[in-house]
Amino acid sequence: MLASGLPEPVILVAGVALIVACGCAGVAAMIGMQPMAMASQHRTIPLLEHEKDVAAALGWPWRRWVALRIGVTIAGVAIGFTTQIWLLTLLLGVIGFFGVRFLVSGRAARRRLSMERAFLVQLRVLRDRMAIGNQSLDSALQEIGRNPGRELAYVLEPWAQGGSVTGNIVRCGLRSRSPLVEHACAVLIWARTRSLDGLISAIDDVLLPVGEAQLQVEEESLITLTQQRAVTFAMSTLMMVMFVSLVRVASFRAYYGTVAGTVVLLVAIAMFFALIALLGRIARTARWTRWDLSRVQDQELHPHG
Amino acid sequence: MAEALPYAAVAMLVIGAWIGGLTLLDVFTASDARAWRRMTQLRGFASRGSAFERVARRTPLLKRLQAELDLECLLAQANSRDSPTSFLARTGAISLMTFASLLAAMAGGRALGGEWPAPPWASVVIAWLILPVSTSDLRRRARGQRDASARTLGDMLMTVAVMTDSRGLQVDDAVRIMSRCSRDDALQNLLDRGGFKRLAGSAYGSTAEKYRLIGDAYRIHEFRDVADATATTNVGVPNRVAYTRLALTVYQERLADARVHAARARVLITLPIAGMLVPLLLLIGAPTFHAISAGLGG
Repeated sequence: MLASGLPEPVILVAGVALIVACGCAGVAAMIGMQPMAMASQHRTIPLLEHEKDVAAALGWPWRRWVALRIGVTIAGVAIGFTTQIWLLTLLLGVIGFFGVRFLVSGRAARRRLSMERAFLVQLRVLRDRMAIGNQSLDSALQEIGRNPGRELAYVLEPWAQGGSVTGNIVRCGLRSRSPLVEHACAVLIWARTRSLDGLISAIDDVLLPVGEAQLQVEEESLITLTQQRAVTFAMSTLMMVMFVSLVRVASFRAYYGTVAGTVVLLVAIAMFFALIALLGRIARTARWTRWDLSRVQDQELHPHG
Repeated sequence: MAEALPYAAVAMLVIGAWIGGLTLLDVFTASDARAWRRMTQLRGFASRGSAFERVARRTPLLKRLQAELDLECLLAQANSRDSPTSFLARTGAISLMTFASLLAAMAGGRALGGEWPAPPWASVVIAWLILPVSTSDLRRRARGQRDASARTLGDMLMTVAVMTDSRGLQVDDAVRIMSRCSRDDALQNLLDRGGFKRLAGSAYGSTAEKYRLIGDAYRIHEFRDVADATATTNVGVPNRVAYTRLALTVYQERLADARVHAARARVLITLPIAGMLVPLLLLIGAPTFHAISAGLGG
């Protein structure tokens, strides 16, 4: 029935295009095969890792963070449901899920920066303990681990424990989820095995000056991030106030309950999020390399393995 | 007779594709010749390529298209397994499939509703748009991989300074070891897995020369900087000093970039703020306009 209604040239043209496309696909698949295995290996899920980074920077356990996100999402949906505008229910759910991260990301960035600053201070203390106090690396690490200060209490906890020094440094880096601390831990892993003097001069000549330079870049990024967040908050508040004022008027509320009103609302929301995305692109911050410290530990044991 | 012509053309195309496939799969090539070819590819030497590839290389249209798009360079930078020909073939296949599907869907709509749901030429336009979109996606991937490699190399210099000085490792070994430890595998693909051979080749005599070749071919200036630092270590500058200074330079450069970016953002940020007027006016204007038009109509 359907086939009889189709114009013949269309069947011919579409059929030929499909067959040529299959031929091209076959050619692409055959030429594209190379013996060198260079496919990209995704070792982690970036989105999940980013969520874990935010939770760690806030000093929250992962489960509490997930529970908060789910809780706020449900609350958003429930509030939206009471307005009886289905689109608003969906929107508040989405805002509830993603908004929490946005809301706390500034605080998370500030906390991470202060933790990194404190870590550099502790590195200087470590250096002094070894150079002036003549302590060995493991005893100096243990002493620092026992009194790490408020910002580093969770991160430096492994140093207070005995056992493998490298293992403790790796655990510290993993807990921090900070590029700067991970990087410093990687340097400590490679520098610690030669001699105490070598480690002290590595901290003096390499870790501290480069760490300070990294901190300066992070501080500049934080300024940009703060600026971006302030503008986003202002824009969101303006939009929210305007919308709430509008739906308080009966005729406007009735309009936004109709199909045409829903379409207008959708367009306005899409434009708003596009503007927020544009803002994110304009005020983009520096990115850092993340190091897999367990792999660093393996490579340190078997560098040519 | 005329009705059979399209079917004959299709049959010829299918047979041609079948023969082409058999040739490409090297079914008729001796196994030892295949083994030698594979070893040549693994060692990064230039190979003769299959008959199909040679024909494709000589075709003026394809040659011009590849030269215009600089596909070989982009594909290597994007760390793709595709050759330029296979990339074009794949893009062509996607375009044609999109065209065929859209045309069939539109014709189905016409058969059911009696008129075209959209003009048929729209399918040609959409299918044609796939070529620039896929090229732009390739460019984006290439830029992403290049940036990631540069970032990883810049970030590892502090560790490289310690590894070469305290542990006595060669700079190339240190860089390759640290590339394996990065969570982002762009640099590992380029250096440790031998991806650089595609553009930079294997004709180098020293690490500094190798890194200069990679830096030039992949347009990653951090490689050239490391090559220069390596050259200074060859004339007596200690490894630790050379690579630490380079690390500091990298971060100073990033700081300058961040400051420039922040200064520019302060001005550009006014654009989205001004743009906010549009959704706000839409929210107020749409119901008002609707009420006025309903009043005039009633």
